[in-house]
Amino acid sequence: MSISTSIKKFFRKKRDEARQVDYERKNNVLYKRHGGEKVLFVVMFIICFIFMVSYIFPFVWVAINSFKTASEYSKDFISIPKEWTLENFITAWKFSSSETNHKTISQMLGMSVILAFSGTLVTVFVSSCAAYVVAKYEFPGRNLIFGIVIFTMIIPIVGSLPSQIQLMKEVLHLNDTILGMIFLYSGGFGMNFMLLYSFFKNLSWTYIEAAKIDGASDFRIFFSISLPMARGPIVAISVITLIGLWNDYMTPKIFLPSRPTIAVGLDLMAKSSLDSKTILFAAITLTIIPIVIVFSIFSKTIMENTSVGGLKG
Amino acid sequence: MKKNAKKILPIIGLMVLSGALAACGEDDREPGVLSIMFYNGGYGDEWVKEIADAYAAESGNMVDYVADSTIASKVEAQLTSKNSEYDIFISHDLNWQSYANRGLLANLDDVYNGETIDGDKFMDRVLPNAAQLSYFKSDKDGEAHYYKVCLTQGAGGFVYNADLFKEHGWEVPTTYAELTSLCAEIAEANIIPFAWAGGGDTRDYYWDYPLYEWWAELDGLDNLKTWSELKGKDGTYANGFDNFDPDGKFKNFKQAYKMWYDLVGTHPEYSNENAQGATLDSAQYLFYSGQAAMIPYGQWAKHEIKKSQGNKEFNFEVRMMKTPRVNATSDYYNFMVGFGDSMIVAKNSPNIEIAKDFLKFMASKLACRTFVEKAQGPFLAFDYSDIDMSDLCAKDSYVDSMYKILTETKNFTLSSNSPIITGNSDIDIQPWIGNNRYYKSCMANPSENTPDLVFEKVYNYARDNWRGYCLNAEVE
Amino acid sequence: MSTAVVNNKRENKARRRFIKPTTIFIILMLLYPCLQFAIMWFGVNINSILLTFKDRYLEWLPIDSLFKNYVNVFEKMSIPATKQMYLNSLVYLVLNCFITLPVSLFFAYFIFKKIYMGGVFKVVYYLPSVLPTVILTLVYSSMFNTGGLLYPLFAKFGINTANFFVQGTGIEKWMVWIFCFWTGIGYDVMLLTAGMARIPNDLLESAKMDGVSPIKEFFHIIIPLTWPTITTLFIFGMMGVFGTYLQPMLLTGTIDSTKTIGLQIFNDSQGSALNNPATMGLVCTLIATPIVLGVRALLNHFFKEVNF
Repeated sequence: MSISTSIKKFFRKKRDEARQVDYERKNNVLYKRHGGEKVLFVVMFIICFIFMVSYIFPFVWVAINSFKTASEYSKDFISIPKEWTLENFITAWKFSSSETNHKTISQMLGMSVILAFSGTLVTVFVSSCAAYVVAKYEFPGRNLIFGIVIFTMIIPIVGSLPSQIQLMKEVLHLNDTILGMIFLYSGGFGMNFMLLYSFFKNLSWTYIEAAKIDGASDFRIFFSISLPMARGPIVAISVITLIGLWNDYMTPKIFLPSRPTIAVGLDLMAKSSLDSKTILFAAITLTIIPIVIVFSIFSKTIMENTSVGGLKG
Repeated sequence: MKKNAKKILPIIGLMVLSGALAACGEDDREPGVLSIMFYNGGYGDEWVKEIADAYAAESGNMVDYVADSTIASKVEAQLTSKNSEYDIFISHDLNWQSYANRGLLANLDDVYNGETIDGDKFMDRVLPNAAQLSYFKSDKDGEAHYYKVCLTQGAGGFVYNADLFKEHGWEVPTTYAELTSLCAEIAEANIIPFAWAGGGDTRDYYWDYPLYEWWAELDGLDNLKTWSELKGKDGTYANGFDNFDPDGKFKNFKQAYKMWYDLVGTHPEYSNENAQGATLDSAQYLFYSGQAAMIPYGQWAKHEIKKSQGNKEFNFEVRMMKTPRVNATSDYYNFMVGFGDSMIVAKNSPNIEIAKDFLKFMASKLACRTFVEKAQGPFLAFDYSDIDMSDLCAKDSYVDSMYKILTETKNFTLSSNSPIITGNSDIDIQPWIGNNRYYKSCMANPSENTPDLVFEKVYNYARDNWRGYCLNAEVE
Repeated sequence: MSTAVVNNKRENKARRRFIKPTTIFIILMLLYPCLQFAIMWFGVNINSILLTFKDRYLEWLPIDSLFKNYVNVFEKMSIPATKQMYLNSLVYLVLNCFITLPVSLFFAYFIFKKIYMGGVFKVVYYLPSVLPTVILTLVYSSMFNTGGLLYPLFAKFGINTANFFVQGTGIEKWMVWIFCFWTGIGYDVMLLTAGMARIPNDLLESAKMDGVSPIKEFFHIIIPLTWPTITTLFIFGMMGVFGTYLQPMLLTGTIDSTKTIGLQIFNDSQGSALNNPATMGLVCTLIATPIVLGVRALLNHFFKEVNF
């Protein structure tokens, strides 16, 4: 399937969806509006629309200005560039300074990719292991574990950061290492645990009993039956975790100072002496574009999954 | 979904791989190579290069250096790591007393007891105040040692466009009264007397320099020194807020603010339009392009302004004036901006001896001259009286003006090792407590920022928050 | 007799052989998560408590002034700058729970009622939630700074937006609040519409047939039926009192008028005197826990009967 047909298909799907919503709005009794209600909806539409513009416009403005030359921007920062240039992007892409620990944007993005993906992989896997065992196996201490998890999730701990820093630096010696970051991200008893726990708890055991009778080992059952069955919730929490780790500022800022991720690195870049603001704009545009593309393709998946993951807290 | 996933997976894999490759490749330190990290600011980096080269030629030790504007936030991590990546840190706002307290800094007694390459005693090369400031008793071992070397003896005040002055026949003012009438004249000629920047990356604190100088003149240097200890009338730190009493020990600073208020605060036409919101760039441009006659600045003015304008030379003569006196009969005073800037050596550095050697080299006549030449104006915190600067002064009028200020005025500093200051390193306490300056708000609303109102606020703030500072500093 | 013993033994053996792989499986599966949890939860929090009894060089406090750090925390509460910090933090409770959440509820309702372009609104509002805060703050502040889009617009009215993020104008805290509202609304809207989508359609239809007005519908059907979501978001919002630090830090820097508890702890944690932030954190935890638990219980008490 070529790209153009898949794009066409994508848009066709979107169009069909829109048409369906439109149809519902017109024909479903739920959405029939009269008189005052209509006015209310028009007013609300305008408010909502203004809100929407407030989210889009600043980014568009930044993107447009990132195509201007520095001198044009300093004279006129409102209109469309007279002379489009890619200079800012090239400079931004190559830029590195002591402030950014001599890392370029591509290195920051690389670090973000490494941390976000491996962190997600590890924490989702670890959570699945823990949730599966606690949900499906009888063993001494099981209720204790579950009780502790619930307890720790209810208590709002404030300010464990200083202690974490001390522990990472002086006891574990994992400060400023990628391994340390993944270790921090690899918790198995958080929200993800709860979500997967409730999934596994409701999962029918008969299928697995059958496999057991056939002589399959517990590992085999877990990897080839249980995990694939949990694909839905696993995708859901992976998506949320991934976004969370990608955007995380505090952990890499404190525990990986010498190798900034993009979320930290852009701040460092803004603090270093750039020749022109347009370079920063280009850097912002460069980092937003992939996120926005991924988001607009997977927005439905992402949002559905966030609502699943966010609610079970 | 599944098809999508299959397509995306290899892409993700590729990204991870490329990222991993890009993220690897850390440099290891070469043994025996001195490594310096210094603040990336107005002095530029030419001076380090030049001095490092000279030092390498002299001693055979290689020197690596890096400029960083976030140095203050990086030092701590370096000092507490197993091996610092840098041996010497050079910057303002280094929390060196706290580092010394925790035993993170190399003891520099050897440097102060040593000799420079010229055969002079290092101690003789250091300015008297500077040695005193660098001597500190750490909590860790309870002994006093030298832990830093001061970087610069700067000057702060009004940088002016000498050609413009000549052209219009304006005399460089020697007193505040003359400055007042000069501003009226300048404004009449449709030129902005002062360009300054209160917006964005604000530099409104450049106004502090003339204010301090007026304060010093009114208060006398001895009083100022006592003031900067931040002890109360009864000699305790607990009542240190006494120092902010506008009718008592702070009276003269209030008077200095009043002078500013009368001259600038109530005369918006003497500043660039909307100065309180103007960016540094725009203020620099006004001065650079000759639209403004003066710009309050520190010693790094020439280098920094030039750099901001694409490194193009000024097309006029730039000078810094001795800050006009309050009284025609008294001395000129100069606030040594940057006197608190430090050069410190990491205790965990593998090259402590080389680092010490380099610091001694910094005190040499050669290094002192090089610094002035390459940083274009600022002077190191060493004695220049034996150094022939005449050729540099002749070549660069700005250097000449700086030299005159440093040699012909009473130099002073507000830096002190008072525990209130060292125990609250992240808070600005003196003299604008809580880092609240009123220049900007005064421009926006003069009637609510009269000297009386402002200093009442300052005093109240000091009194209310003082207990917190004492608690932080663990003093009674 | 003897056969029975043998039998028993054999059975034991057999059971052991049967149990063994499963036990290994359980242990292996739980080994890492339990270890990680033991270190990062118990280890960290116990160490946190220990830190509160140490001095600024992290040596043990003498026994006669063992609670010095606690005394300091409480004594500092009477100091205006600290008081302001606590107040600043509490503002986020009001903002998150009583402004962002109700407004989001309102928006979510209209999106749920299929307002024109509702789906697009939902996606766009959610956009800030997938972008790093650093990018959002950079874009937001460059809009107002000189060279920003809004700067000349406001300048026409003589307002200088470049000063909006600077200490002393009184506007800086509003800028942070507006930012938090602006970026926070999308997440709430998304969760709320998801909650509303779970309301049975026939219920709404029959209400409509009975001529229930939209306002009545909103208060008597929608809110009770989305109450679990609202509760969750309310609790999340409460945690903003301690969790908000990045927005003020990136927008205004650390200044008195916008400093929060979270920011103070974040800054102090990067210094050496870790005893101070640890103590402050523990005191906050001790104060917050009963409040959060109480509010949770109270909120769950409302509309308890609602379950679907």
